[in-house]
Parts: sequence; structure tokens; C-alpha cells
Amino acid sequence: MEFYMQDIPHEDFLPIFVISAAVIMFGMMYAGFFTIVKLRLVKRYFMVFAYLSWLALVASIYYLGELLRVEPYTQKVLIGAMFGYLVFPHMVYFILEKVHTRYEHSN
Amino acid sequence: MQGSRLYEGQKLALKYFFVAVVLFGAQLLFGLLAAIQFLYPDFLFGVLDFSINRIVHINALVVWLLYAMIGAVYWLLPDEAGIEVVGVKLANLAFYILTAAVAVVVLVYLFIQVGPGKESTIWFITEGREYIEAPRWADIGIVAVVLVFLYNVYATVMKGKHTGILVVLMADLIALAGLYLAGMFYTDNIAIDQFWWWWVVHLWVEATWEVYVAAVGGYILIKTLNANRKVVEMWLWIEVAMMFGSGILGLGHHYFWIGTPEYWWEIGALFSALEPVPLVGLFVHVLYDWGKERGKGNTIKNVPAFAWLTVETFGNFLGAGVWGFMHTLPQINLYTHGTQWPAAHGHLAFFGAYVAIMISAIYLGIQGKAGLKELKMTKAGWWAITLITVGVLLMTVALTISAYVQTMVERGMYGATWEGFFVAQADVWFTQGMGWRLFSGLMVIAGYGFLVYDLLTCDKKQPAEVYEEEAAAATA
Amino acid sequence: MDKKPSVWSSNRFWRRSATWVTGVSAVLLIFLTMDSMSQMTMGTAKDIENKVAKRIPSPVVINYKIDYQLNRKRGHEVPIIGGMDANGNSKYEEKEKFFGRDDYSEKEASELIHKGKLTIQAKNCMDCHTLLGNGAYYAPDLTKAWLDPTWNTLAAAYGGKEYAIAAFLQNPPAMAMHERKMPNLGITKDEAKAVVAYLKFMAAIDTNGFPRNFGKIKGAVDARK
Ligand code: HEM
Ligand code: HEM
Ligand SMILES: [Fe+2]
Repeated sequence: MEFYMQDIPHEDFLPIFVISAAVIMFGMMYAGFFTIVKLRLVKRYFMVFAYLSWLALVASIYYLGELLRVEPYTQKVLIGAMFGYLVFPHMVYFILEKVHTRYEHSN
Repeated sequence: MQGSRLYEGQKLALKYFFVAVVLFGAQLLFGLLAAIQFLYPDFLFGVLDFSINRIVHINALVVWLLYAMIGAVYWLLPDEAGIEVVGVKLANLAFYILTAAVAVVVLVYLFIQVGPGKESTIWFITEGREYIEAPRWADIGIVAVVLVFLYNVYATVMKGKHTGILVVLMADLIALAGLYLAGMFYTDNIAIDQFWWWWVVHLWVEATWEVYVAAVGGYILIKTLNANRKVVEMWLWIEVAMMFGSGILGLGHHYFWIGTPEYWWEIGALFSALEPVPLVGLFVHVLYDWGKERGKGNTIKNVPAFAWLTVETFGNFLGAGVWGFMHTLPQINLYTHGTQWPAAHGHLAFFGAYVAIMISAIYLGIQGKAGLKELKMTKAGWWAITLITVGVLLMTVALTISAYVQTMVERGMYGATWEGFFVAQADVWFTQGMGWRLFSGLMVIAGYGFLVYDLLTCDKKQPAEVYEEEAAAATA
Repeated sequence: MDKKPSVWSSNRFWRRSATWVTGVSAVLLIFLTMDSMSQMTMGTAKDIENKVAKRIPSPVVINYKIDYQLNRKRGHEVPIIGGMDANGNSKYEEKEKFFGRDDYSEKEASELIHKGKLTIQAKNCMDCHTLLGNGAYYAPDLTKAWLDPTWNTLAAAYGGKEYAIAAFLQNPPAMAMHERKMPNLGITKDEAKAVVAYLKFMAAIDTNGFPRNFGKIKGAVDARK
């Protein structure tokens, strides 16, 4: 039986907490690098770090899923979420730019 | 003469800020007593027990943040709407009533403490429900005062300008006030009791308060950085969509184990896992605005306010986003629920998300009161922000270590029994964490001392050029 | 100067989106809440007679033996009321004396629960302990305190664990087991009985398997798989 909630051996607690923190940190690094490159605060090739952070994020989520012993349904949700998050900053930046070009020069 | 440039509403805001800072001090003091008791259980035993210190600690926290939040609204309301606050006399009266009620409630907590197991205790002494222990009579008083507040806000906006920030605040404040009603009834069924209790606690801190912060944060960005209002306001709507979109159903992460149906596992996991996303968004937005304005060579109009806003974006992200996500999935929450994990998370989240931005708003008030066009950071101001921020971070790390040990030993190894609890509490790693918490608490209190000093004196301790500019503007 | 502004930068578009997202979430929450409420209302004595499982059972469960056992089908522990059948479900048969009686009527049991809950609030229990895992972290979780192995060791000396717990509540420092003591909160004899009834009732609430592996001593926990 695939239960939603498996017993987690206590040796796994530490990696779970560390990896969960890593998930959010890599998530922020991806968004952060993306932003500072777009703002031209740093050189363009820093964008590589943004995508590397995203890859690290995916790896962390994968490992977290393993540690939590998630069932197949949740696995699919996680994969979807990762692609959603890849697109997210692109969308946000696209919108911010649009607003700026629309309003910046009108005041 | 200087004070006369302020709206009456803004003068009222300063009174709210004043009480807020006093209560912040009370919060820290009683937190310290509780922290000492973790290490020396006989300290004040039978006089001021842990439960009493903790009640005062967390109630003072919630109440001072509400004071500061109301204060910040009275501060920005006339400024944004462009007119005096409507019904400001009534608002002043409400302030004194509220403050008197708060004082009575605290005295009853401290000197009466507990009552017999009867309805009268719930009405007059304590409700015994974390964060909203305030007895029922006080609840009703609070609702009355909040109605006055809402009247002020609505009437003023109707008459004055409807800026986007004000519209968001109007909608948000009504939800915030309405949610309090969900915590105002008694039931024998503890599962249903806690179900509605979380409506107040979660839907406050993870939905309506977050949106409040996004709105007031937008105002602070405009004031300190001269950020583009249109950009700020549109971004605010996006934040509202993301925060309410994730936060409302994220409520499910408190419905895993309290007698609720299993479907909350999936709902709570999914939506609460999305909750960090708007916090990343907030962070990106501040970074973006700062980058844009810096590009234009603009200076920061109120350095302490902006510095505290920066602490808020990082702190909110770390405390709510990272520390929240670490224990939000049901698979792991099963083991962390009811340990020091929520305490570690609660400290950094409340500090990062709310304390920092309210201090930022108070600095705006100080600047406005002194009538300065620019406010720079003083030495004391730097000490305050450094000691408080580092102190809370250190406290969070210390609590996290204790929490980890507790989870391992009590939950992982001893099956959550009474014995397991005490074995974990006696673990040397656990007690060391408690020791560092006490130390970092003292750091925070030292920082608080600097903060109070700075709030009282910073307008007189500015570098010479600030006053020169001021004088030049006056003669021109 | 150029083409018409994009919808992405329209304030109106985002205001509407925010309103819709909020509205839809709120409506969903209200529906889910209504469903949860219907599943969480307290059961009745009739339900127990008819062996209908309720998440929050009738207060008359204090007449029955309560246990907390792994349910294979659900994959976690569930409260077992009045003995367990072959499928791991409650039988609602085995009684257990509670302060000398096992025939509390629904009215009597409800009155006890009522007084118990009021006392729990009036004495601020949740500001040291957790109940259903919520509260403070200064003292042990009380969700399944009724079933805690500690009481079994004291039961004999007091003529039953309900008496031991009641004695403890009326003067905790006198029975202190650790350096960190529970204070004397002025709990009367009647209040103590009511609180113990509440603890027994709470142990029978279906908490979806929280706390996990409750009562398993060191070493036995991970061994279960
Ligand atoms: C500013 C925002 C937030 C604040 C101020 C905050 C504060 C708190 C506090 C004080 C508690 C403990 C409640 C108690 O006394 O029992 C708590 C619990 C919790 N928080 Fe947050 N929180 C915030 C955001 C978040 C976010 C974004 C997440 C998830 C990503 C999260 C996840 C949790 C979880 C899972 C618990 C329950 C712990 C348990 O009872 O097992 N929080 N929060
Ligand atoms: C002098 C500094 C402080 C000390 C020594 C301190 C100490 C404590 C202690 C001992 C508790 C009880 C935890 C338990 O039940 O085990 C507590 C709870 C709490 N404190 Fe503090 N605290 C301090 C500062 C703060 C600050 C600055 C905030 C908010 C920004 C805060 C927010 C809270 C919250 C929300 C809780 C409830 C946590 C929960 O139930 O999950 N504290 N604090
Ligand atoms: Fe929450």
C-alpha cells in the first residue's frame, strides 16, 4: 500500500530540514540573480548563476521527495511546480518592465 | 510650531506609536522571564509562573503590533487621502479607551492569573486560548474600538483621494477585523475550537497582515525611495493575488492533526508550500525599486526606515518562507508539530515580517514629527538595528537546534511520551540552545534600549548637512 | 507614441485578478469549512450504540476503554474505543470504570466535559502545554496524556489512573517528577475530575495519527516497519 504518510526514520530528520531550507534558498537565489542581472547591476553572464540555482533547486526538491517518500501523485505536482517556478521570474520581470515603460515617462 | 504641520490624525498616530514601543519593551521583558524559567525552573515559581509570563509576552506582541499597525494607518491616511482624518476626535477617545482596557487586561493577567472553571472566568479573567487570551469583555471593547477605526478610514477615503494603497488597505482591514470575530465564542469541542482559533491566527499572520505589510511597505518605498507610485500600486495588486491565493487555503497546514478530515493534508501542503512565493516577490520588488532609483542617483529620504524595511524583506523571507517551509509538509510536521520548531519559526517570522516594518513606520513618524526632509542613520540607530536583528537571528538558530534535538529524541525515539519530553528537555544540546536563547534575548533587549534612545533623539543628532539643507529651504 | 498598452501592465487587470483569486479562495475555504464542520461535530451516545465512528466522539466515551493503535488501512494510529475488532476498528464494547462508574449518561458526561473544558481554559493550560499539538512548549503534549505510560506506573497506588491524575492536578508540586514543576493552580476536586474526563475524551479524538508512534519506548519505533 502506498500511504500518503510514511514513517520517517529519525536519521532522515536532519537532511529533511537542511534540504527544505535549501529549497527556499535556491528559490530565492534564482529570483535574486535573475533580478540583479535584469537590472544590469551585474554583468549579463551572471544569469548562469540564476539557472544553476534553479537546477540546484530541482535537485533539492527531488531529494526532498525521496526523503519524504512521497507517492506518485505528489511527485507529479512537484515536477509541475518546478517548471512553474522556472517561468515565474520571467513573467514577473516582463510585467514590471511593461509597467515601467508605460508609466515611468509619464510623470 | 513644527508640530502644527502635522494632521491631527498623524498626531494620533504618534500616540499609538508611543504605546506600541512601550508594549514592545514589556514583551521583551516577559519573554526574558520565561526564557530564564526554561533554564532555572524555580525562578519566580508560584509567583509569576511560566504560563503568565508567556501570556504577557505573546499578548503584548500582538497588541503592540496592532497598535503600530493602527498608528501607521492614521499616519498615512491623511497624507494619502490629502485631507484630515474624518472623525478624529472620536478616534482619540477610542485610543484612550483601548489603552485603558489593555492596562486592565494586563493587570488582571498579572495579579489574578487564573480563575475557577466557569463561564465567568472566560468573561472577566482569561480565555486561556493562546494569543487571544484576552477575556470576552475586552474582545467586545476591541471590536468597538476597531469599528471606530474602520469608520475613520472609510469616511476619510470616501471624502479624499482613493489611492491604490488606500483601497487595498480598506479591503484588508475589514477582513482583518472581521476575522477577530471567529475567535470570540466558546465550545466544548476542542477540535472545533482550534479550527476557528486558526482562522484568527493564521488568516491574520499569513494573509491579512501580510497584505497590510505589502500595502504599508509600498507607502514606505514611495516615501523613502521616491519609488514610482504606479509601479508600486500595480505590484501591490499582484502581491495581494499571490498572498491571498496561497495564504487563505494555506490555512490547511494547521488542520493536519486536530480532528480534521484528511483532505487537509494535500490542500495544506500544496497551498502553504506556495506561501513563500509572494515573499520572494516582495523581496524582488524592493530590490528592483532600489536598483532603479539608485540608477537615477536618488538618495534615500529616511535611511533608518529604509534599513528596517530591508530587514523586513529578508526577515520575512527567511522567517516565514524558509523556516515556515521547513516544517509545513505534513510528512515532517507530524514530527515537528508541538515542538520548539514553531517557536523558532514564530520568532523570526513575527520579527521579520512585522516587527521590522513597524519600526520602519515609526521612523517615518519621527521624521515627519521633526519635519526633516531627510533622516540619516545615527550611531545609536545602527546599534539598535544590528543588535536586534543579530539577536533575533541568533535566537532563531538556537531554538532551531533545540527544536531539532526535541524532534529527534522526543518524537523520533520516544514516541512523544511524557518521559520522552523530559529526556529531550534535559539533553545537553537542548539546554545549550536554551542558554543561547537567553543570551540572544539579552542582546535584543540591549538593542531595544538603543532603539528607544534613538527614537527619542535621532532628529537632534543628524549630520550638519541635514539641518543646513533644512535652513536653506526655509530661507529660500 | 506607439501601440496600446499591454494588459499585463494594466492596474485594472491586476486588481480584478486579485479580487477573483481572493474570492475563489475564500469561497473554497467556506465550502471546505462547512464540510469539515459536519465531520467534526461531536458524536452522540446513539452513534456509540450503533458503532458509528466519529472524529470527535460523544462524551460518553469516558465509560469505555480507550486505546491508540495502528490501523493498517489508514496507515497510521487511530483511537480505539471499547476494544478493537479484527479489522483494527473500534468495537465500542469493552467498558472501563471511570471514578468507580461506567454508566455516565450522555447528560452527565457532557456536563463533565463542559466543566473540564472551561477549567482547561480558566487555568491557562495551553500556555505551558500543547493540546492537539497547539499551545506552549514548556510542558508535555496532552493530546494522548490519558494513555501516557507514566500513569500506568502510578495507577495501582491510587486505585486507578484517573485518581492518580486527579490527585496530581490538585497539587502538582507535591507529586513533582522533574525539576521543572507544574504550579498549583487551585484546581478543586470537582474541577480535577472534570479535567481528567476531558483528557480521556481528548485521547479518543481521531487526530489522523498524531502523535506518531505514541508510547513506543526507545528502540521500538523505527523497528516497526
Ligand atoms: C509572517 C508570516 C508568518 C508568521 C508571523 C508566522 C508565525 C507563526 C507562529 C507564531 C506559529 C506558531 C503558532 C503557535 O503558537 O502554535 C506558526 C506556525 C506555523 N507556521 Fe507560520 N508564520 C508565518 C508564515 C508562515 C509560512 C509562510 C509558512 C509556510 C511556508 C508557515 C508555516 C507554519 C507552520 C507549518 C506552522 C505550524 C506548526 C505546527 O503547529 O506544527 N508560516 N507560524
Ligand atoms: C528578549 C527576547 C525574547 C525572549 C527571551 C523570548 C522568549 C520566549 C519564550 C520563552 C517563549 C515561550 C516558548 C515556549 O512556549 O516554549 C516565547 C514565545 C514566543 N515569542 Fe518570544 N522571546 C523574545 C523575543 C521575541 C520577539 C522579538 C518576538 C517577535 C518578534 C517574539 C515572539 C514570540 C512568539 C510568537 C512566541 C510564541 C511561539 C509559539 O508558540 O510558537 N519573541 N518567546
Ligand atoms: Fe499558518
